[in-house]
Parts: sequence; C-alpha cells; structure tokens
Amino acid sequence: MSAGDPLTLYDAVLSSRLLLGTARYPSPAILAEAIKASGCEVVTVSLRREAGGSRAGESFWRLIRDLGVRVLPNTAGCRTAKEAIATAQMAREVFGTNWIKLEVIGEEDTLQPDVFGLVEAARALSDEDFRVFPYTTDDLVVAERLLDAGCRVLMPWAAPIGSGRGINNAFGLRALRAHFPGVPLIVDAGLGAPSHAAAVMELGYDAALLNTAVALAGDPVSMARAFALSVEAGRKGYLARPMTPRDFAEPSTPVIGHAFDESA
Amino acid sequence: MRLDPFYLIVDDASWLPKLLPIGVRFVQLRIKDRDESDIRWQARLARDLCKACGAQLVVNDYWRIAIDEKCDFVHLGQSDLDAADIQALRAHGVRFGVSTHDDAELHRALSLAPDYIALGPIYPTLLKQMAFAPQGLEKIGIWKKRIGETPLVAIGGLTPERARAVLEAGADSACVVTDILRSEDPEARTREWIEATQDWRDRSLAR
Repeated sequence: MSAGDPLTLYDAVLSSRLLLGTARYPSPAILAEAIKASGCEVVTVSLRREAGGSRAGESFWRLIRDLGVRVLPNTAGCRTAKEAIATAQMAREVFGTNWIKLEVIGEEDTLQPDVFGLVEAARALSDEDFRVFPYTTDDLVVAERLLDAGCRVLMPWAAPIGSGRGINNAFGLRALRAHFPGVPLIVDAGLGAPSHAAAVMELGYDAALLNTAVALAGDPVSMARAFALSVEAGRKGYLARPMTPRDFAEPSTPVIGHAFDESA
Repeated sequence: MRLDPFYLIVDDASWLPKLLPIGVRFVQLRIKDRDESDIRWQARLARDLCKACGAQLVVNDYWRIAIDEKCDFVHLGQSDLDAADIQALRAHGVRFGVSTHDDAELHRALSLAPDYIALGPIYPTLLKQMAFAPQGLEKIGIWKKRIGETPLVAIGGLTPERARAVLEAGADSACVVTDILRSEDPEARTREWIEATQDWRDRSLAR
C-alpha cells in the first residue's frame, strides 16, 4: 500500500491493510512464508492454543518474533467476559503488548460473539489500559456500546469464523461504515476468496483480518499474496470513487467527436 | 497464610491459558521426563501466566528453578527433601510444601516447618502406583490436629464431591490431577471443582 495512505490503529501507523491469523497452517515454514508474501504487519496469535509449554509452543513464538511483525493476541475460545479478561491479562504478560483482539463466543455452531459479554469485557479491559480490538457482529447499537466502552477500533464479521462465505450482510456493513466515518473498521471473519476482501475494502472498510482463507488454501503462500493484492485493489478502488451504476448501457466509445471530453 | 481450597496440578504449562481464566488460583506444575531447559521455560511461562491471573504457582521438585525463576512455591516429595536446600528457599522467599504418607514422614516434614503439608492418597489414585494404602477421611482430622496452623492439602482420587468431603473433614485445600486432566471436558470439570469448593473460598475470604 502506498506510503500516502497509512492505517492508524491506536498507537500504530501501518502501511498494510491486511491482518493475518496464525492458526491452521500446514507447517510453521508455510506460515512464515505466507506472512512474508502478504506483507502484513500485524498477526493475531492465540495464547490458549499456542501456549504449548512444549518445544512446539516455544518455537512457534520464536518464529513469530523473528518475523518482526506486530502481535495482536486474541482471546479465542473464551465463553465469558471473565475468561476473556483473564486471558487478555495473561496475553499482556506473555507477549508484552496491551493490544488484545477480544472474542467472547456466545454460540458454538456459529461462533457468534456474545455481544453482552463482549461489551462488558471491553469496558473492563479498556479501563485497565488495554487497546481493545473487539470481534463483533454488524449490529450498530453494539458498535455504539463498544465505542462507549473505550474501543477505538471495531471488527465486525462478514460471516461466521472459518465459513469463507464472504459478506453476509452488505447492508449492515455499509450502515456501520456510514455511521462511524472516523473509526477504523476492520472486517474480521468470514472471508473466503480475495474478491471478498476487495469487496469489503470497496465498502470503505479500513482493513481486513483473515486466517482460514489463507491457511486452508491449496497454496497458502500464493493465497496470502492474492489477498494482499485484492485488499490493495479494493482500497485504491474505494479511494478513487467508483462510478455510479446505471440501469442502461452508455457507450464507452463516443460515436461522434473525440475520444476525450473537450467540453470543459 | 490461606491456601485456595482447590489445588490443581498440571503436567504442562499449556493447560494454563485454558484453565486459569476459569478461576484456578493455586496450581502446581509437575513435569516429568523433560530436560531441564524445557522445564525452566515452562516454569517461567507458568509464573507469568499465574501472575497475570492472580494465581499462585507451585513448581514440583525443581527447587533451583523455583528460586531462579522467582516462583511462589516448590513442592517437595520425601525423596526430594535430601537434596533440597531449605535455607536457600527461605532466603529467596520461596515457600514449600511437603508430601507425607505416614507418621515418620510427618515428623520429618514438621521438623522443617513447611508452608503446607500434603496427605495422600485419600482415595485410591489412578495416577501412580502408591506404596501406601488409601488414608481415608478420618486421617485428615488426625493430621490436621497434629500439624496445627500449617495448611493441610489432601490429595489422591478426588472428585468435586470428594473434595467437599475432605474439606469438611478438615483439609484446607483439595488437590487434583486426573479428574480434570483426563476428563472429557477439562474446562467444564474445572468449573465444577471451583463451584464445589466455593463455600470454603468464601469462608477464607471472610476471615
């Protein structure tokens, strides 16, 4: 992404608008290559999954550290505000960052956020000086509550985690964007193909966060690059202000006069 | 000093991010058959995780690591007592607990003025072949009378229901390994343990 269009998330100024998760890759080497190919500067890590006191856990963390990317620990797997708060506190201790991707899961089949627990935990953590990145739905009122609670970034879903369905509710995402023009909005979860990422960026979203779409692709490294390009394409398209769609054709090649409009 | 009435033993630090957030406050890291650098790394990680959650960490056996890594406690079996430097532990503010199974072991433990005494196995245990028959609940009252103010930990074959029984019988804390770590759903089982011991936690806060 161009140097002239930085993304500010709390205290960080970033040039990449793609954030990647680090779970489910075929191997640590592929994970590392995919992150490099994507050019992403922020990766999410799960303390609950990766703590592995064993050597595997240790080498995972060393690998992430060596990549020189910023770490966004998450509270994946937490089902109550209390669990999420304790996990966040552990993550701060272990990873040395006050950034936290806050997930409070309310329903097992859809992994839908428990937005009540989410708001509660977001408030408690913001009060403890955490920088909270809440994984939420596209509900506008919940978004308001999260901002009241101290969040300065919102991360609504496109579709359920790992579903790869793309945007389920374009109307809802568009309404959020229109309602919170100054708040960084990151689509988190549900993207499956690069075109989905381009679509959310064209809606004016500030960034996209994904994991499964890259990790479970046939070629994760190429897919990571593809997502990076599509995020950039979508962003540039949004900034360039797309033309207004019409119901009828309009010839793109003038049948008379000049190819360029000289009336001005 | 009061111990939390629920004392969890884990065999790997990777359990902690899952189980600490549920409300575990007193946890022992007991790792066997790993090289010392791995155990040290795990102890350091466990210490940080426990600190963040307001839990106390007990390192089993490796008393030098407990000192170096500034852990809260070390747990010593009778066979560890010969090698452990009790004076060094005290000098560094590392508290220690000692396992006991019979009168002779209790005498020896009491002579060291430990920070808790463990009695086991209360019930038959699945985890290891024990040289001692199950002690039964009556022994808890006898032990408690003899050790006075020193906190008593009961271990061996416990479940949430049995935990209530041992606490009722006079133990200060009920210790568990298998019932949680080999459970189908360790997180749910941990919740049951915390609920089963909540009355004693409330009482100890009230004091």
